[in-house]
Amino acid sequence: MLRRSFLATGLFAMPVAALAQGHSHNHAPGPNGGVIGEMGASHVELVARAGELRIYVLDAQDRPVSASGAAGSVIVQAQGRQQTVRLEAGEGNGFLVGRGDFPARGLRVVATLTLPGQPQRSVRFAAIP
Amino acid sequence: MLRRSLCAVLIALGLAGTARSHEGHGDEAPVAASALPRVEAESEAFELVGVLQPGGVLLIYLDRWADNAPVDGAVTVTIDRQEVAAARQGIGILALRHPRLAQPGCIDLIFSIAAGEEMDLLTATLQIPEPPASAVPVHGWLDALREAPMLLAAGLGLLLAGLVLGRLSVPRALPPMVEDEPLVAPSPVAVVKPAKLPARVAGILLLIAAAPSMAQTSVAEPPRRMDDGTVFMPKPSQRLLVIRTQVAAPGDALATTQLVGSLTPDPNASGRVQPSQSGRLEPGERGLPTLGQRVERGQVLAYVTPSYTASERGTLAQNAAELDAQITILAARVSRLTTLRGSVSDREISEAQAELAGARQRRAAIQPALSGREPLLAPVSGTVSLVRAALGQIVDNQQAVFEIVDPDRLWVEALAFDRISIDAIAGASATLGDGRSVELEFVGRGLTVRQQAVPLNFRVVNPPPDVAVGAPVVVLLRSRRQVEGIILPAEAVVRSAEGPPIVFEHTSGERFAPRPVRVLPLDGARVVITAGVNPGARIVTQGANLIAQVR
Repeated sequence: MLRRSFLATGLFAMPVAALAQGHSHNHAPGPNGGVIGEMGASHVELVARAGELRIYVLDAQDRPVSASGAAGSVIVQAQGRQQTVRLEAGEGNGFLVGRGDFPARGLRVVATLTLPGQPQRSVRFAAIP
Repeated sequence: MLRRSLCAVLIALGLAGTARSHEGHGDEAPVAASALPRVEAESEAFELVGVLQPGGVLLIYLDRWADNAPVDGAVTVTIDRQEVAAARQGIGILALRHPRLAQPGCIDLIFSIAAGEEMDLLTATLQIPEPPASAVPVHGWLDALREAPMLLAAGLGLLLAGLVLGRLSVPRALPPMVEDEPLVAPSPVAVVKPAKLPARVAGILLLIAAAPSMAQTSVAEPPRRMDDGTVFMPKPSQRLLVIRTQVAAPGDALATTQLVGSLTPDPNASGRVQPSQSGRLEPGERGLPTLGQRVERGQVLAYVTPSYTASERGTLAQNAAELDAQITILAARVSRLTTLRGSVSDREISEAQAELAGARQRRAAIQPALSGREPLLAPVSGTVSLVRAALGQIVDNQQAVFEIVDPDRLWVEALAFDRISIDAIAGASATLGDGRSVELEFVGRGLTVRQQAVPLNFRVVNPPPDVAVGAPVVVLLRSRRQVEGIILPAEAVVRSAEGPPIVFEHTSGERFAPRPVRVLPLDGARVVITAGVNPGARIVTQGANLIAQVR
């Protein structure tokens, strides 16, 4: 009885696949020359330097807006090592900044951000070669 | 006894049924609302699919993005700022347990993958649906008892009636025919009974206990074709059917033409064994050769003893007798003349000797016809591929008794129906009946049209040891003209139900989309797709025919 009902549900209920977020779209470089990440409908930009990561919040036209009220952290994979870095407000609230021990190249970055008035979201950036 | 066990099984089934239906109502409903919640994430290296099982366990399937092969890696998942390591269940299968997974809502998951030297970070959002409101009244077997007591009573009455009937119709032991034999028969029954009964009860209890636990195991989702024509194939099915993909990359290939041909032996490395006259077959020193036997050139395979009619034999015997008589006379004459040497001339003596020698030669010439036999020799070294011989058989002259083929030297003869200029042949290969491909070397073409076609000869470069002469092959001629396209294995292309050839594109973790394509054959194992597939798409190269069968 149970098996038949499972079969029936399998046949009639359409498996709902959650939206794949991780797929790397090829975005043009952002206004600050960084990598664009999709966060729901809005975009954020990641600029990587040695030992420093900056995340800019962009508006609908991909222009930087103030990052005040935004908070979060980033997970960085580099040179076979993974570390979590807390983000702080950058100078003039123009961006969020995280500092750690990582190079500027060969990074894989996922940021967990809370923008003002929005729930916490994760955003994956295309790998920086 | 049988009847009683039947009763027990019936009761057990009834109990198990109620137990399962009772248990089933708990976890059945969420599945009915929507199939298992799942999450997909992919990067250039990995593809990850997570399926939330009814018990709040997220089964994670980790595969390589490009070829869909399972990856034996470690996955750590960040849920609500908590890092949880997924437990390895098998190659590329991990199970994640977290209390948050049992609560409805939207969860952001960050997968941190480490597989050997490679590392990656993936993000995905898992939607866990609300469990449906428990408005559905629990309809247990007690309710059934309450609702239909008459039915139940009638059923029980029938059961009791059956039991009584069975008890009454048990065959009774007949009165013993021999008085003094002690009855031994009942004692084993009495011994067996208590031994079997606990086992049976234990089995029934096990069945009842196992029924709900069986319901808890992971749900098998069948692959199915969606309304838009794509195929939904869950990861377990993909693993089972060993679905593999390849990223479509454009390339250049030589245009090919297909011809129909067949395998023939190399005329310089094959031969027939035929007797020159009819006669009776006799075995060689090692008996008649058998099929597949290796023979060397010049080896005696059999003998043929000539057979004659009675008149032929009579004439021969008569000639022999005449010659024998003549030889006797001539020998006597030679000996007489030699004793008279000096009185007779030397010329006379030498004439008589020459006559004797001539008569002896004639006698020797007809001797093999009387008693000799003709050896059948292997004309080439090779393998015996045909035997039409039986001991004592009368064989005709010009009848092939054996055929010998060198399996290392085979040719292909193909018929070209359209004009093919030999200059344009850049290479050739042949596809055998079982799909194997062998490389060919062009030898030459005939100028005489046969069956409206021009015969072409090819040498097989490395013939497989198990091919058969005469087997049909498909010859693929590569011309010097280049075609651009995506080169894929031939098994990637399947026939759709409508007819045109299609390939399946792996569009997302568990989706396969059919793509109609234009295909040109490349060689036996590969095809070139000139239209229908975009470079960079993941095309199923293994198991495409199994995906095509999903309805």
